[in-house]
Order: sequence, then C-alpha cells, then structure tokens
Amino acid sequence: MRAGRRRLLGASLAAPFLRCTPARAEARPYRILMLLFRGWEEACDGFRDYFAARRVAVDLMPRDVAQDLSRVPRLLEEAYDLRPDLVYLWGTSLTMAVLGPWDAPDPRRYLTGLPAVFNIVTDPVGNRIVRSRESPGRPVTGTEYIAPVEVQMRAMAAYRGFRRLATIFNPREQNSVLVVRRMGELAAAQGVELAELPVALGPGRRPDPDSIADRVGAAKRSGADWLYIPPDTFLNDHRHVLTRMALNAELPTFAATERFVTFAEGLAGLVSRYYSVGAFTAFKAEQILTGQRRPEDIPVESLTRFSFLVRMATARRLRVYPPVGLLRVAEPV
Amino acid sequence: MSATAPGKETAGNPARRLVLAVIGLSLLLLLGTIGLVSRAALDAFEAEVRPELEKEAEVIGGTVAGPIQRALSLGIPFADLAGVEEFFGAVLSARPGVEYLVLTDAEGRIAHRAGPGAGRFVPPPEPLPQAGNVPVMRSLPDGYDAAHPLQAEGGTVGWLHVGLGRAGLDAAARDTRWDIAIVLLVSLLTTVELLRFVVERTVSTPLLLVHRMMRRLVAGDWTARAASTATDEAGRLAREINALVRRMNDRWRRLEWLAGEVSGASEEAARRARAILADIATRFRFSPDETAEERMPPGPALARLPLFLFVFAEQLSTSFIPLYSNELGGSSGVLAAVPITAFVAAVALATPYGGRLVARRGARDAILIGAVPAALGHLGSALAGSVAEFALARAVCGMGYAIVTIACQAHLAQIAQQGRLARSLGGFTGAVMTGALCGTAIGAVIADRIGYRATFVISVLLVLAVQFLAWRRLEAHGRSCRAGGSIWRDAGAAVRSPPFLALVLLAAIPAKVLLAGFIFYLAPIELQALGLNQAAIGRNVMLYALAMLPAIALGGWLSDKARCEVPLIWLAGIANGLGLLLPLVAPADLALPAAIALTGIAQGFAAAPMLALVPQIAAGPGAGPGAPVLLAFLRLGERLGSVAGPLVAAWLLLAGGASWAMLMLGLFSIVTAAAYALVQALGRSGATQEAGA
Repeated sequence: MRAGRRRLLGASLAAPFLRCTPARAEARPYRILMLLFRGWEEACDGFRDYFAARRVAVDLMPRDVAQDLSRVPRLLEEAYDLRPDLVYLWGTSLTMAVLGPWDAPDPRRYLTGLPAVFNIVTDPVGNRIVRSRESPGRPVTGTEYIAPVEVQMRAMAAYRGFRRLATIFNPREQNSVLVVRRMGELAAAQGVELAELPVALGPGRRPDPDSIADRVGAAKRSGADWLYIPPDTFLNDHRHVLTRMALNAELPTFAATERFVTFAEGLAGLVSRYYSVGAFTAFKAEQILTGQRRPEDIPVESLTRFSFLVRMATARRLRVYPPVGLLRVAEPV
Repeated sequence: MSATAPGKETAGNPARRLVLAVIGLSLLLLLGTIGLVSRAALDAFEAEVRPELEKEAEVIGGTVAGPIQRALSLGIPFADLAGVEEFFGAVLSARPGVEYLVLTDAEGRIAHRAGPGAGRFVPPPEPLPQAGNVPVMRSLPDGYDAAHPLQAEGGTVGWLHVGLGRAGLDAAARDTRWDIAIVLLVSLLTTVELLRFVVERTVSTPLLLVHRMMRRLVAGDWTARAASTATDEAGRLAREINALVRRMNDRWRRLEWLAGEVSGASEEAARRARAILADIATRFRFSPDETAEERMPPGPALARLPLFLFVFAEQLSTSFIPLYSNELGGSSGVLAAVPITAFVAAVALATPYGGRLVARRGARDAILIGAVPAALGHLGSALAGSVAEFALARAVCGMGYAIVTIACQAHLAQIAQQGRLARSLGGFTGAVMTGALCGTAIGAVIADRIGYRATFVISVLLVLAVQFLAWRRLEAHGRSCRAGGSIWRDAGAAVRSPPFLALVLLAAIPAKVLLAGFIFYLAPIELQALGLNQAAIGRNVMLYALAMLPAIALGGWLSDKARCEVPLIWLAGIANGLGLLLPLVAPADLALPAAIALTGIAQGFAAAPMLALVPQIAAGPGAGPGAPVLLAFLRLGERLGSVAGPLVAAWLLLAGGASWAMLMLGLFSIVTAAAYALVQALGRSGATQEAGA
C-alpha cells in the first residue's frame, strides 16, 4: 500500500511534465551545457528523464565544479566557445556566480547572451538572480524547490508544537542565510525563540565540519523543540554526522530539503522531490528550446505540492511519533 | 336580467348541499390517498435511509481507522498514538452526523474519545471478537455503533467505535413529514379552489339557472328563456325548459288567434273569449315575439379562480427572489433587495391607476390588460441578465399585479349577491392567501427541480391561463358610469370621506404594519433566536396563513349575518394587539407561535368586513369616487403599511429589543383600534343628530 501510494504521488507530481507524446524528432539534438555544483544527482535525473519521456533529443554536457567556485571563469570561457542552445545551472551559489545580478550585466565576469535555466535555487529574487518571479528581467528562468518558510513552520507545528527552535547553517551560503533570516522574522512575530547557530569558519573562511558537534550540543542546551536544517550545501555534505548527532542528542530535526531525511537520519521535512523539480525545470527548458516562449517571459515557479517526509526509524528512536491526522498526507521513509 | 330578487333564492340554492358534498367527498378521497402515499413514502424513507446510515457509519469508520491503522503498521505503539483527539475533531467537524469517535484498547478501555455524544458511549457488553478484519455493528436505542478492529503484529490491539445518532435521521424524517404535510395542504387547498370553480361552472350555476327558470314559470312568467349553451344534463334540462316555454308561448299565440276567430262569430263569444284571455293573463305572462334571456348568474368562484391562479403564479418566485438576485449580481445583500422593493413600489404606485382602469373599462377588461405586464414581467425575470434588468422586470410585474388584483376585487364586489357582500369580498382575501400559500410552498419545490428561470416561465404560462379564463369565462359588465377626472381628484374625494379615511388610517394601515412588522420581520428573527432552523421558521410563519383562512370565511359570514363590520374591525385590532403582548406573560417558544396564530385569526376576521365597508361608504351620502377607486386607495394604504411595517419593527428592535418592539406594536394596534371605535361611535351619533334635526 505504501509503495503504491508513493508511486501514485510521484506520478501525480511528474504527470504534467512527463507526457509521453513525441514532441520533436529531428536530426540535430539540442545542446545543453549543464553546470553542476556538487555532481550529478536526482534533480539532474529528473531533468534528463523529462526529455527522454518527451522524446526530445538533447545532448547533455555536464560540467561539475565540485563546490569550487574558482572554476567558474574557466567554465564561462567554455560556454562562450561551445555556444550551447541552453545553459543549465544547479544550485544557488553556482547560479549566482555564473549569472551575477540581473541588474548588473558584465559579459567579462558573468554569462550573458545565452539562455539559461536554473534548478535547486533558493530565493532567486532575494539573491538577485531575477528581477521578479513573474518577469525574470533577463533571458533566464528556472524553478524553486523550497517551500515558503511559513509553510515549513506550519508543517513543523502540525507534527509537534514548539516554543523554541534552533537552526544550524553555513553563514557563507546565501541560500541558508536568507531562509534563516526569514525564519527569524516569523519566529519573532509568533513569539517563538529561534537559536541561530552558524557553523564556525576555519582557515580560508571555509566552514569547519568539526564545529557541527558543538552546534548540535548548543541547540540541545537551548531547549529547542525542533532543530531546523535550511537548504545548505555544506550541511548536506555532512548530513550523516549532523542528523546522527541530533538523534543521539534526542533532538528532532526538520529539513527544508529531501536528502537529510531520505539519505540520512533526519526526522521530517517538507520538501520538493529533487527528481520532480528537475522534471519541472526541463519543462521550462523545453519551452525555450522549441522556441515556444522567450525565457524572459517564463515565470520562475515552484511545484505546487510538497512532500511531507517522515523517517519512521528516527521517530521510533526519538519516540516522537507523527500525529495520526498527519499520516494521511505524510510519506513515511 | 332576472326580475326576481336574487337574495331570496340563495338560501334555497339547490346545488349548495350538492357542492359541499362533492367537495367534501373529493377532499376525503384525496386526503385518504395522499395520507396512504405519504405513509408509504415515509416508510420507504425509513427503509432506504437506515441501511444508508449503517453504511455511512461503516464508511466513516473505515476512513478514520485508516490513518490509525497506518500509524500502527508503521510501528507506532498503540499507547503512543499522537494527535488522536485533533484528528477526531477534524473528522467530527466535517461530519456533523457523527455522535462520537472512541478509541479503546483490545480490552475495551477508552484511550481517546471525542464528539458531542462521547459521554453516551456504551462499551460493548461482551468482549468483541479478537480475530477478523470486519467491523462489528451494534444497534443502540438512540443510534448505531460501528466498531472497527485495529491490528498490529497480527493481533487486534484496539477498536475504533463510530457512533451515529438517530437524532439526525429523526430530524430528517421529521422534516420530510412536514414537507409532505405542506404538500398535502397545498394540494388540498388547490383542489378546493379548482373544485369550487368546476362545480360552480358545471353544476351549481346551471342548476341555479334552471331553478330560477322554474321559479319564473311557477310565478307565471313565461317570457324568458334560459341562456345555456352547456351540453350536459343541466344544459339539456335548460333546453327542455326552453322548449316548454316556446310551446306554451305558441299555445298562447294560438289561443289569441282562436279568440280572434271566435270574436268574429258573435259578440257574446268575443266577450267570453276576452274573459278567458284576461283570466289567463292575470295568472301568466307570455312574450311570444321576443323572449328575454335568463342568464347564468355570475358566481364568486368564477372570479376567485383567476385571482387564485394569478397570485399563485406571482408567488411561485417568492422563496428564491433574493437568491436569484444574488446569482445575477454577485452576492451583495443590498442589491438583492432592489427587485423586491421595485415590485412593492410598482404595486403601490400602480394601484390607484388600476382602480381607475377598472372603473373605466370594467373588471374583465382590466384583468385582460393587467395580465399583459404581469406576463411580460415574469418573462423578463426569466430572461434577466443583471439585477437591474431583473428589478425592471419585477416593477413591470408589479404594475400588472396591482391592476389584476384590484380588478378581481372590484369584480367580486360587483357580483356579490345581496347580503353576501362581506363573504364575497372575503373570498378575495381568501383567494389571495390561498394562492400565496400554495404558490410559495410549491414554488420552492419547483425551483429546486427545474431552476429559477424555468419557474418564471411557468408563472408566464399561468398568467396566460388567467387571461384566457377571464376572456372566456368572465362577463363583460360592471362598467362604471364614472370616468374622467384626475387621479388627484379621486384621491381628494377619498380623503374627504371621513369614514373611509378612518378605515384606512386607523384599521387597514395598522393591520398591515403589524402583519409585515411582526410576521415577516420580528417573528422570523425571534424564532431564529430560539434556535429554530429555516424550515421550522417557515412552518411557524405559515401558521399565520393557516389561522387566517378559516377566520376570513367566519368573519365574512358574521359580518353578513349580523351587519357588524365596524365592531368586528376594532375588536380584531384589539385582539391582535393583545396577541403581541403574549410574550410578556408566557414563555417565548409558546407565546410566539400563539401570537402568530392570533395575528392570523384577528386579521382574518377583519379582512372581509373592511372590504365590505368600502362599497357601503361609496354608496353612502356624499357619494365618493366609486367603489373600485376607493378599494384601490384602501389597497394603496395597505401597501404603505406593509412597507412601513418592517422599517418600524427594525427601528423598535434596535431601540429596545424584541420584547419592547412587540409591546409597542401591540399597543399601537390596541390604541388605533380603540380610536377607530371612538371615531365610528362619534360619527354615528353625529349622523343620528343630523337625521333628528
């Protein structure tokens, strides 16, 4: 029953994008340069599978910066040399580094003159990647994957009421910082205490993984009812350590992205499935490639439905069980 | 026209008992049939609904048990189930029929419970079976209990009990019973109206005609023949009487000829023949060349049916006009009132003109003319695309309504037989009330089935039927001698008639203020405050109409028998006022329906005498503008009272609460009624003094 339910949900999410009608069968495939921040993962699978299902021939050229933004200038040169039909960008930091602010175009530092779609990006307006969600203001569009922070907080409350929250994040990542700031505003308005715990920065102002243990301890001492994990690439890399420590400290964790729950020991999260977001991004990419719409006319959107993930093994260990009513919508992992 | 006094023959109307018997028998049959059908319908309702209810308990149980079962299969221990009360609360708010949701462990100990009837949960007397996946149904004295087993690790760890009360079913059955009763009542009233018409048209009027002919013949009057075109037994009888009359006239002619022949023989023979002829002529009258016609006497039912049908058509839409307005113009409550106001205003403004039209053209023509705007208005309502168009259509309809109703009223006054004026005019109020009652009740049902616009189309068809009836069945007579003169001159004349002015200001307007203010405004609000639902409020308000119908007939009869119009009017006013004081001395749930019924009785008693006074006033000294015009101004006054009533009631309600408002309205009725009595007494003593001087 569980498997059937999840398959159904997945199908319903992907259905609008995975229509199995041949759209194009011509000789030259579309060339898409894929700039990836931390390698090929589920969102890229969704992106690729969409074109396969639509039988749109694409030539995907993935390039991974392996979280090293100093490689961006060389990739820009390659992009200008290749002149692909479309540039695909993965992640907030990389997208910001490649595209720059929408209102300060600089062909030497940032990519210009090529249409682009971005995927797995937090707050593209606040991060000045686009002018507005409705009207990007440049030949760039894309998708969002984070549920609005207030919706995430409601989801947290639906699982377990709270008076105190704690959050650990990488202060060097704009995506995390913006979300934490927003949560701080909402918490203050609701009379909820929010302990903001940035990880320590080591040599070269790089975040220090060894400080995670200390921050989890601080969160526990703050008496937090939930430890909130923002969309954070650094924490994603160390998700096993982070969620295991929180579990050992008997601290329920709530994540904004799926991997902390699906591929670690986080308790719950209100997330967009990376795979579905990737397919949704491909839907927008297809509109650009086939010339149906200009990228600057395509709004930046998130999926309309999010998945409420609950990791039952963690729930059992914490003895913090989801309320019965929530189980009608939650997806147990 | 007949030479005999019509008043004498009414008592001996041969068809009267026959008519009563036919109507009584038909009603008895109808009542029996509908009673049986209703009984069967209710049984079917019970038989259909009960298994549905059990199924519902099972289905609800299944949907509620689902997530709990899921939690258990995800490894959440039964004792650690979280958020069960909240979950139950969400289900209960979506399913008002559920009495309780109770979660017990395998031993039957209550772990969680919620719902309005949670306290009434009775654990099963013996332990429920431990094996199996099937819900266990229990029938309880006041409902059903469906127990769903909850499984974990192969065994039953708990039970979810879903309790459905009978209260919801009983309420639904009660509502259905009331609906059937109302449909029954409406069918009865409609049947009576139709039967009255049919019997009068085909039986009593032709028999009355034959009866009149017989009386003529017995009295020796062989000059008239019956004007009957009917092909039935009564018509054949009439034709045979006509043949007899013709034969007798032929004989007379022959006798006259013989007498002429004999006269030529001798003087003596001529003298004897003249004596014989003279002897016959003293006892019989003949009219061999030109026979007068004894025509069908116009009966009151003939005028009642068009009026009943017309009001019926008009009231079909009453229940949904605000809803229709909202549908047309968004959901503004203020806009919804515009079509209603347009109708009332058009009726008020058109009523005096309607009276003049009747006076000039006669009732039949006025009905034929007035039906045109009425039908157009209904058609316009059916086709309306906006609130403005709808309001315009309703205003046109209102004009037609004003003309047709005043025409029917004037017609009833004209054809009223001597000594039956009040009863005949009471028939007007009776037909209007019956039509309104039936139309409103059936209109809601029809609109439910075929929609608002189609219901208006039915109104159009009914109005056309009324037009046809008036054209074919009403006599074109009663054209008033008075014509010309402006409406203002009419109004001036009406105002200068003190008895008329007193009647309008101290009796008619206060009665309508009370009616509209209490019955249509205060009572629904107060009944709602008592916790009654819409249908129950409607039934309580209907009590007014039910109480009024017999009171109209009784009031008309009393007024005709005892010639006591004035006392009846002011006594009714005082009784009505006292009725509104009832909530001061009795609990509201009894006093309100009692006050509503009393208002109906009091207004019913006064209705016919008020109308009957008008032709008397018109025929009285200083003859005014004539009965139709005065009737129109009386109606105008009543309309104004109806408009003012809710406003006054609302203002009083705001100023001092509902009890205060009812007290004030009651006192208002008592004071105006007393003032009316006083004015009438003074007027009478003044008149006798003048007569004495």
